[in-house]
Amino acid sequence: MSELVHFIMAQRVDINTVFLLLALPFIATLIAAFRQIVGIKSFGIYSPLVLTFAFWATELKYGLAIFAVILTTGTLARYLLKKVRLLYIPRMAIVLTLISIAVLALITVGGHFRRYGLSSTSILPILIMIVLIERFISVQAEKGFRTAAVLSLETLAMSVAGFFVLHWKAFQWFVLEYPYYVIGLLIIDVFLGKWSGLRLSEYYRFRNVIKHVDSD
Amino acid sequence: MLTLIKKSRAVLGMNARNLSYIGPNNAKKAIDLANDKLRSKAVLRAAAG
Repeated sequence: MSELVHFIMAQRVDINTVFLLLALPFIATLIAAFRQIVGIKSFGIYSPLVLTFAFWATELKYGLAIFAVILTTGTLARYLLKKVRLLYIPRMAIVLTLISIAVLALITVGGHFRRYGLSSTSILPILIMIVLIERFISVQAEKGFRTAAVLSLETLAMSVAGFFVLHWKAFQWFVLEYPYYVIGLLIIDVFLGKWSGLRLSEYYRFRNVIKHVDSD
Repeated sequence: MLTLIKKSRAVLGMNARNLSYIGPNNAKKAIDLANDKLRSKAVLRAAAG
């Protein structure tokens, strides 16, 4: 472990906190690379990042179960409320209420079937996931169900990838051994921020245009 | 493969679009003006003479 990390821990900072705070920049850079180089969009950078850490806190299968319930309840609630004309914030309050009830039901049922990992899930990751639903629903309202579904799948894929990075032993060792790697990440971020090449997805998206370019 | 990369240079992707067109051509002042109906109206009326 690096001297810096030793020093921080000597000040009674929890090692988990140190690791997560040093890992967060990596996940953020990973998401930026996915967007700029690969072309996986997701809901901005905040959603996949925070969802990654929510999964870390809940364990993947329970996190996925809770997230699935939240997404379906949210979509269903929005669909049901479509015909009732309500202002945005009160309507969102109803959606969030229904989601809360659904999650409570899920973890209760989970406990009943001795899935204690589910029933003992702490409130913070659940809250994070519930709050993310607002982005999903507003995209659904503005750009349609399809776009919202694709973006959520992309968000989910990135968060699952992030989850595996966080659980990767070699990564955990590396981050605590060389915490200054974060400076390297900043350099990569600047490079990503100036990257003007086509995203991988755009080779497919613009395939017909590319085909018709006169090469000389 | 090489020609694919060469050809793709002629296509304006999202990254290049944002960096070389959207960014430089949309000053903060101009965006603020466009977002303000009343100021836009005043400016456009003045421009119309």
